[in-house]
Amino acid sequence: MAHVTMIHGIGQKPEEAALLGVWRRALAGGPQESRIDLGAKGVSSSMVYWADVLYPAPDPNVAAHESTNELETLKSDVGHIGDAITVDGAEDPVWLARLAGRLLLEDPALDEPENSVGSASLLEERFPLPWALKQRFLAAFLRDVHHYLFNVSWTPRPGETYQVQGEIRRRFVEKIAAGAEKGRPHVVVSHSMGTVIAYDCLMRVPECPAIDALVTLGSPLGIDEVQDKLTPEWTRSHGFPSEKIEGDWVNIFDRLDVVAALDPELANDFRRAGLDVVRDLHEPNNGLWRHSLRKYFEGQLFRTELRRLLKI
Amino acid sequence: MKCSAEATKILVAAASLEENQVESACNAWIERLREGNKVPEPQIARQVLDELRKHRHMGALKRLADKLLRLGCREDVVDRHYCQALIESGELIAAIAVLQGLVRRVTLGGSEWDEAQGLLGRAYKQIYIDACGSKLGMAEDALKAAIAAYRQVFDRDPTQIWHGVNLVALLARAERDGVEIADFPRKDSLIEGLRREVEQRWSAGTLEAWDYASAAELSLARGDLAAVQRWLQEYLSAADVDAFKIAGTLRQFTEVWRLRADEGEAGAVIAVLRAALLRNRSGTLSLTPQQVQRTAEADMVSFEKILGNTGVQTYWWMRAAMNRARSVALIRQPDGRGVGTGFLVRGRDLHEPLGDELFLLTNAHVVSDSPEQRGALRSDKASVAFEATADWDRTARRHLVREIAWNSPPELLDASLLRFVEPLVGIEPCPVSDSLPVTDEDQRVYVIGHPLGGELSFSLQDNRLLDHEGPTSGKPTIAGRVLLHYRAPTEPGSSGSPVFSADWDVIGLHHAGADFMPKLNGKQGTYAANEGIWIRSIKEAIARSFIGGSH
Repeated sequence: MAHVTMIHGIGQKPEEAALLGVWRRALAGGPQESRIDLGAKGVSSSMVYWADVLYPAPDPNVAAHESTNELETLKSDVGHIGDAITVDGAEDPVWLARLAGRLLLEDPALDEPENSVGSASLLEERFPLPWALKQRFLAAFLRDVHHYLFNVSWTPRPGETYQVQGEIRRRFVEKIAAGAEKGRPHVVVSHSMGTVIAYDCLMRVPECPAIDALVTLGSPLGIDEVQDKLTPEWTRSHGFPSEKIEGDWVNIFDRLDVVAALDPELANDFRRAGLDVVRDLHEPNNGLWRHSLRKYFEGQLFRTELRRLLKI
Repeated sequence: MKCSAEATKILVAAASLEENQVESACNAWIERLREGNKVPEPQIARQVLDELRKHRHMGALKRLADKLLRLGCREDVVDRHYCQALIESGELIAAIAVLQGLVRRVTLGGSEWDEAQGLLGRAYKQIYIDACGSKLGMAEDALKAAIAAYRQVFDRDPTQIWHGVNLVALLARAERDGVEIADFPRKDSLIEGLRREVEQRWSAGTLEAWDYASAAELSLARGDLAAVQRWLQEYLSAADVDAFKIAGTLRQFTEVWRLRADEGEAGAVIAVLRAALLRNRSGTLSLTPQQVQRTAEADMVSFEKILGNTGVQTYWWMRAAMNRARSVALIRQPDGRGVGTGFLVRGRDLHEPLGDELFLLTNAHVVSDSPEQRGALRSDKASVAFEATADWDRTARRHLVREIAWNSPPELLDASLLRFVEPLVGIEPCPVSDSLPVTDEDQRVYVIGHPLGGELSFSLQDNRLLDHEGPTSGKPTIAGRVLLHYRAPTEPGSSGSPVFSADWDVIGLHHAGADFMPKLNGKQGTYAANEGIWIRSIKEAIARSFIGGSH
């Protein structure tokens, strides 16, 4: 039977088994017609867990990660981010400053979209995030993505030091290999920075096993600064990991998601032999926190795509 | 205090839900005690009996307590557990007789006296409830005796929340039923005193799961629905809440307070408790057809308020369960007696050429026209009633069977596909899934049926999927027949019932259960398990038989 390997995004998370349970339940939620209870459908699932590489301890507040209060999960994610990265402390200060500037200044909840004619987002009510919360989220995002892309040496707990990218790549490859043993089709579902990790491993780690399909949710892969650090393997016309993704890459985004919004569509940046092949789907979430995993998991387009990819 | 190896085995077996192991562990312990000429230490006896009660092994609890008493174990706690088991099995007169002796024997006002009086109240209360308003026999006197039993404790010690809340509930019930209670204590002042006691303990952090349920009941007596929902939220998320406790609370809310699941936001707390019980490990739910209908119509708001983040999900899940129950039928023989269960399926879901016609799937050992299948009901003698689709004031319509469209004998797939004389309308068939749940993630399966052909109750059982012979690692012992094993906590029977995944898709046809079922896939040993046939094995067999031209 099929297998789903999931990979989470930035922030402090509950311990691995609890987080996997949260994700499984999020997918199994909602009306009978649309819920996907993976286990009941015979689909096994696992999680590439890497929060402990950057954070000192798991988040004990598991309930916050299932909360219907949309900001509770975010608060729990970024409540204890530890030391934020500064421009002076970055491996490439210019790169960090540029990325930070774009994320801070180009707020999708405040800006009118460039091409607003016919845009779904025009019809949606825009709520800016509380500033303090947004600042903490972006601080966590910048640090985590920087440490991964620059393979920083990091000590989350006394006596435990990791080369961040090396360790997370190792874990990803290990889980993908184990998932491949479980069954086919093997689909990777990634969220937020998890999409960067998944792409990096599939495109740039030769020993990473192939998968049948990739789903990216709320991905920052469209951001130029992120793409710059995925070269030389990544190029715009040959950015699709053809050797490792045997089927589809489906990218689902909300135009008002603070992470995905800078460049939500990936088909034009990750072409296969110059052709647009990534299936970009706009699925509007609602409310203040559009980057929420739970909201993406509740999306009908996402669920329909996942069912199709898993053949269930 | 140190448990002997034999006593420890009972504790382990009780938690495993293997009834046969519980029984044999209890017997081994008694044997050991006899050999050693020594009764167990009181704390150990209490621990073992508590554990059996917690996991609802009421039969084993009754037998073990009986044997301990016969061995000369004179601990009051043994008598009390014995009485508890007698009450749970409906032997109320016997329970009262033993409890009256216990009440006379134990220290007045001590904890065992409080407990025994509470159980006396519970037994008398059940007699009144079971009388269903009849004036015959001891019904009204039983209500008065129940009130007196709870009151004896509460008058001596007004901090006894459990007894006090029962007193309030029964006084309210007496008022509603027009039963006059002499020397009637003022209900409002009782409620107020109890409310203060609950608040004090809440502030002190000394409330336990039972107290949360009592507090919810107290709020119900005050007509404060928001407080009922808040307390139930605390109750259902308490660490020490279990199936036994939830079943008790549900009984109190439905039987004494007479809440109905379809009565708006207040009634929906019943549906929430039912869902919580069914989702609880070893949860079993017995519902009348009317209760199935009402639960399906429950208000969503209480689910959200009590269960918080998982409320909406649980609401849809429970609603799906009730809708599936509507597609489950009781199969009767000509004298009206129920002989088994069947469920409605759309023809094309089993075999494309069968189209949209609706069929009933059941076991061949329940209905068969083959002379070799002795004991099975012939199809022309069978009538089928979807009990949960009946209007509240009339019985369900009986449908006749035209023929058996396809059949596989009990030793193979044990399945008969029945075609109706008249096409069925207005009842949704059960969806069928080709997938089997994964076996390494504590997956649950659910069986809905009429146990032992029972006419008035549906049994919905939460079962842990133990193993199956399906892909990718299963090794079927007979080619073309994939078996599923799952553990039912209680009631056997329900032949012909659908086995649902947690998604409420049919994955199997239930056909047997045994205390010593050989394990699957070449594994050594036996276990207590139920057995079902994978629905895809049935689909493939139907397809082969149709292609073979026999139909």
